[in-house]
Parts: sequence; C-alpha cells; structure tokens
Amino acid sequence: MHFLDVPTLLKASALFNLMAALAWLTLAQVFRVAPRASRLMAGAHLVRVPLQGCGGCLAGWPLMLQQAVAEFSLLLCVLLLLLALRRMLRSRLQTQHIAWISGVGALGIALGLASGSVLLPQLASMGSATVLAALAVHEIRRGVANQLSPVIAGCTALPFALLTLAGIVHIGMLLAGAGGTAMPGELPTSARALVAFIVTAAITLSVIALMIWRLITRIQHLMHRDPLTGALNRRAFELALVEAQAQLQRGQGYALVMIDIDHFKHVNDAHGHPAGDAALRHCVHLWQAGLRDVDRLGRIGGEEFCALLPLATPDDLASAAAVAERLRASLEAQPLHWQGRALPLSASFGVALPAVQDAAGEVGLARADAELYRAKAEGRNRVCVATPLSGEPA
Amino acid sequence: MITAAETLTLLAAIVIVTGMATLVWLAMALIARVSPRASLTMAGTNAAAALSLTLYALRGGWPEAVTHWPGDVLAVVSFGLLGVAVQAINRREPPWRTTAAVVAATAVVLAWLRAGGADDSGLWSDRVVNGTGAALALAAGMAAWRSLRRSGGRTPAPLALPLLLIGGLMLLRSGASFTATQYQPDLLEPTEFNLVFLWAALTLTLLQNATLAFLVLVRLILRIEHLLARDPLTDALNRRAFDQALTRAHAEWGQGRGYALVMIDMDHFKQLNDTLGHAAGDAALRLLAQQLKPCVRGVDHFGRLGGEEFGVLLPDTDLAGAALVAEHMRLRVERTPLRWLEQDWPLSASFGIAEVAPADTSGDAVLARADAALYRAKQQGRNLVQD
Repeated sequence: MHFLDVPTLLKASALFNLMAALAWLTLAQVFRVAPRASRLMAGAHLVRVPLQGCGGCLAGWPLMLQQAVAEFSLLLCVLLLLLALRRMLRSRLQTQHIAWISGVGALGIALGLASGSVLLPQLASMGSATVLAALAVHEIRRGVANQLSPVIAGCTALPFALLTLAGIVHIGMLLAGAGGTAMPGELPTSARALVAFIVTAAITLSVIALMIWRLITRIQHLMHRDPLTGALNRRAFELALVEAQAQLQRGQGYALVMIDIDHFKHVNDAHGHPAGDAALRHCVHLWQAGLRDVDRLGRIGGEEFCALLPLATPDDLASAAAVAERLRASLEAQPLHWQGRALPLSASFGVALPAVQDAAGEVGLARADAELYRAKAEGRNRVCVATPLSGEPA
Repeated sequence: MITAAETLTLLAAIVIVTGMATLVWLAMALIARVSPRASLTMAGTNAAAALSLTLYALRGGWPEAVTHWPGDVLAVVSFGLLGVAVQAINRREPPWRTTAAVVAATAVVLAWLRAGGADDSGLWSDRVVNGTGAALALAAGMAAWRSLRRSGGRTPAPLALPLLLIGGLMLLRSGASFTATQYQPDLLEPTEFNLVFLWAALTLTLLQNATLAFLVLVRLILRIEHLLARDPLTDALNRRAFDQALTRAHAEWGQGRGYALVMIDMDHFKQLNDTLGHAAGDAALRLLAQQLKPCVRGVDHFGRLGGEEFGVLLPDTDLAGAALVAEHMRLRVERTPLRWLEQDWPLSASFGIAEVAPADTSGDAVLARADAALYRAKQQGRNLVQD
C-alpha cells in the first residue's frame, strides 16, 4: 500500500462524502423521498468532510481540540448513520439505547481529553462507534430479512459489519499498544485510509439500496393493496384465490367468508363520504385484528369484502363459521366514533367451502355470495353458513 | 511537488468507485429489477472504465498486448455505453448500432496504430481514445438534453450536464495533446494537468452515476404517485385524486375560471353483476371507462368515484358545454355493448350535470347538485342526461 498517497486518498474520501451529502440533501429537499432519513444521512457524510478534506487546516489548533474534532466526528457520523437507518427501516429500536451508548462514548472522549490521555478518547469513540455499527447490522438483518432473501439482507448489512469488524480490530490494536494509535495531527496509515474509503463508499451504497428497496415494496404494496383500508385489492385477492385453489388440489383446504357492511349507503348519505371511508377503515382494522397472519382479507367491492381462511382440515366449515361470528360480534360491539358520535355498524357474513375442480375459485365465491344474500334477506347482522349439502360439488 | 503516488492514488480511487458502482448497478438490474436495461448498461460502462484504468495502471508490469490495446478499447466502450444508458433510462431507443460502429472503427484504428509501429510513444493512440471519448460523450449529452427537455416535469434538461462536462473534459485533454508542449499521454505522469484531470474525472464519474441513479429514482417515484392516484381497474383517477382536482378547480374558480361536473352511473349494474358474475361486472366497468375517456380533453379529470359511479371535472366549461360532453358520452355507451360469453349485453348510463354557481361554498356542493341531477335522470327512465 506504500504507493498510495494518504492525503490524496483522504481528499478523495472527502469529495465522496461531500457529493454523497449533496445527493442526500437533494433527495430530501427536491424529491422529498424519506426526508428525515435523507437529512440524517447527509449529516453523517458532512461530518466527515472537514477532517478528511483539510487535515492540514487544523495544524495550528491546540492538540486537544484536534483530537476532539477527530473523535467526536467519528462518533457523530456513526450515530447519524444509525438514526437514518432506523428511520428508513422503520425499526422499533429505542432511542434510549442509542442515547446511552453515544452518551457513554462522548463522556469517555471528554474524560480522555480532559485527562490528557491519547488512548482513552480513541478507545471511547471507537468503542461506541463499533457498538452502534453492530446495532445497525442487527437492525438491517431484522428489518429486511422478513421480506428479502437472506442473501440480499446479508449483502446490505455487510458494509456495516465491515465497519464493526474494523472497529474491533482497531480497538484490539489500541489495547495491545501495537501502533494503531494515531497521534493527533498525524496521518493515518494508507491501509487505514483505504479501508475507510471503501467502507464509506460501501455504506453509502447499501443505504441507497435500502431506500430503493423501500420504494419498491411501496409500489408492490400499492399494486396489491386497497389504499384506503390496507386490505388486499381486488386483483391481489383473486390471485390469492387462484393460489388457494391450487393448494386445495394438494389437500390444503380453505373457506371463504363474504362480508358486506349493512346500510353502508345510509352512512354515506347521512354523514358524508369521509364518514363512509372511516367506517370502512374501522371495519377492516377490527377484522384484521380478529384474523390470523395466514388469513387473507380482500376488498372486492365498495363495501364488500371477502376473507380467505386456510383450514386445518378441508371440511372444517365450523371453525370458519366461528371466525365469521367472532368478526360479526367484534364489529357489533365496537361502533365507529365519528365527530363525537358513536355510529353503530354491522355486517352480514356468508360462509362457504370452495369446489375442488375450479381453477379461479369462482364457485366458492358464488356459494359464499349466496349465503351472504341469505344473511341479508334474513335480517342482516348475522352469519349464514352453507349447509354441508350445498357445499358439495355439483 | 507532485508525486507519482498522487496520480496513482486518484486512479485507484476511480477504479474503486467504478468497481463498486458496477456491483450496485448489477444488483439493481438483476436483484431489484429496476430499469434493467439501463442498469445493466450502467454496470457495463462502469466495469469497462474500471478494467480500462486497471490495465492502464498495470502498464510496464504486464505484457503490452494485454494492457495497451484492450485498455484503450475498453475506455472507448465505456464512453459509448454512457450514451446508451441515458437513452435507455428515458425510454428512448438506445443508439446501439451507431455506438457499436464507432467503437469497432476506433478499435480498428487503434490496432492499426499499434501494429504499424509508428506510434511508439502512444501519443496518437491517446489522442484517438480521448477524441472518440469526447465525441461519444458530447453526442450522448446532447441527445440526453433533448430527450430530458421533452420529458419535462421532474427531469430537467440540466441533468444531461455531467455527460456534457465529461465530453468537454476529454475534448480538453485531446486539445492539450496538440497544443501543450509538455504534454505526456501517460495519465500517471505527475504533472499538474494530469492531477487536475484526474480530480475532474473522479468528480464527474461520481456525478454521472448519481445522475443516472436519480433518473431511476424519479421513475420509481412517478410510478408510486401514479398508482396512488389511479383506480387500478379502469385507470381513471381514484376518489381521492378526483377530490383533490375538484378542490383545486374550486379554488381557481375564485380567480374567475368556472367549471362543470358530470356525474355518471352505469344503469342496471347490479343486475349485470348478479346475472353474469363479478368478472363480467369488471369488464363492463372497464369498457365503460374506455368509452368515456376519449370524450374528455387532457385538462379534464376523469375519475371513478364509487363502485359503478364516475365523475368528470371540466374546467372552463359551462352547463351547455357539459351537456354536450355528457350527450356524446351517452351515445358512445349506448352504441357499444359488452361482449361476454359470445353474447352482446347492451350497456347504458345515466348522467347528471351541474355548473359551479356563486352560491357554492365548495366543490362538494356542485358535486351534490350533479348527483341530484343524476338521481333525477335515473328516476326519469335512465340512459339520459339531466341537469
């Protein structure tokens, strides 16, 4: 590595960080994509620029101040990175933990500076930064592994893992006294500078990748979900139905529950469209709470929904009917609170089993629809279940 | 005192950046599947640049047959692919043939120069590479400027600037090779000129990659906004987007621009659904939307407001104008039956129109009047326009 010129490498890092900061700011201000996360990322990059870009500028300053700038900027950079990630992944990592770790690190740096030690500030900042970086790896793996393949989650977490590793190695060298200590004002070795450059670039790219992933999942969500209620939209539900029919051929049974909100037009006419929208959201929210993760709830009409319930045994209509009754009761028990009033809501339910020889699942839908019609005819706010006879294939 | 290490470090930095960019663009193309053609091309341009510069740095150490001619050709390929990527992103036909022809011709010229032995100092090869690179980049930049200006909106023409600057930089270098007395074709030679050139190259490489990434991002964002505003079945505006348009129109009415509303409801939709099934109902709605859309202008807003209910917002239109549009729509729907399972099912719709009046406090009041008119049209036998 001796052929590499360290000041140039540092300046190249500074250039990279500067352009990355500008890019993130443009994303935040002009395109308004993940504005807070983008601003945090811009901050993380900017914090590194002064020291890398102009190490010589600080030459006239007191040593303690030079060290302070170096150590605090590292800690601040990793802290901002973690906060940006947290926003982007919408993780539930609590700020207290982050605050504690950063606080301890900052305290360590301050104490070290005050006592004139050269080792302690570096240990403190490296230590906190490494723990924060490890947290970042954990958050990425947790947030992304649910939706993306483990390979991609690993690749995205890799730069942060590298940062953590580099931090651990550096701390080890510091503790062993093996010349890892950079005196304030001294240039890092070319190996360190190179690693820093590569890790910076890798981290930038991985956060961009995360953001693109977030945009893509948003697109997929919009394509498959009803934007008002969050239930599956018509097309996505039909696809789920086809999939369920294929499973049925392999012995995995399911039931269909057709749901229609009673007197919905009346709610709209009496209280306005916003109230109608609120009623729809209210119903879906309650029902989704009463359904399992494997159940699919789709909005197939204005006020018409359908639930697809995988069954343990293919003919277990009774448990599907029980679920429908639970949904009915929960809606009856919890009226919609609209503009200070409690609007009672109810829905009619039709439960039926699908037919085996029916690729699109239309027969099952028609049966459930017939039961729904019966429920409406018999007075609404009730569950009607297909009798076993009518559940037989024709 | 500029050392050789400085130029070498900058070269290494460019290689690292382009190398990582290659991986990212590959991931975008193959894993995320975002704009695959453009992403693969960007991966290509970065990979070619990285390889070319690496081979350049290995000159002297490795055999000349490996480092010189391939390195030069790869550099030209990299510039050529730049233009292709930008056009691919803008959904224009990428200039594959022209680019391939230019690259091939340059490769032949370079091979001839080397084989001929007339170019031992590498000066002419250097000039050819720089000149062709400049031409390719400038051509790409101008094409990008034109197509970005046409797309408009969130992708302003200045986004083509990095390409033009790259072209300008290469032009500068080619020019310097003729005019400057002390010009050294070797990039690694520690001269002031080379240092500035390499810094500029690093900056522009970062800038160009960032610009392409932005264009890809804008594409994604526009798609999201489109999905947010549209009804997936009919591709009409959804309720929320229509309401927003109505609010805006009413605000503009305060500045003297009137508007009219047409409320549309398909007749006997429930019967059709019950008789033929939900799939037929969807097909009928799509057909209805297809018949209605051509009757409105670009400035009008056509939205799906409910199950079988649509609305049209006509800016700068009065009641008479709305009546004409509605009647036109009514006829089109009447004349186009739904073809379902080998049979023709006649379709019709009822129309209610209203014009904004001084007493209206908001767009919703006009909507309510149009709705009431629609109700009257239904009462009076359907397949009517009523105001």
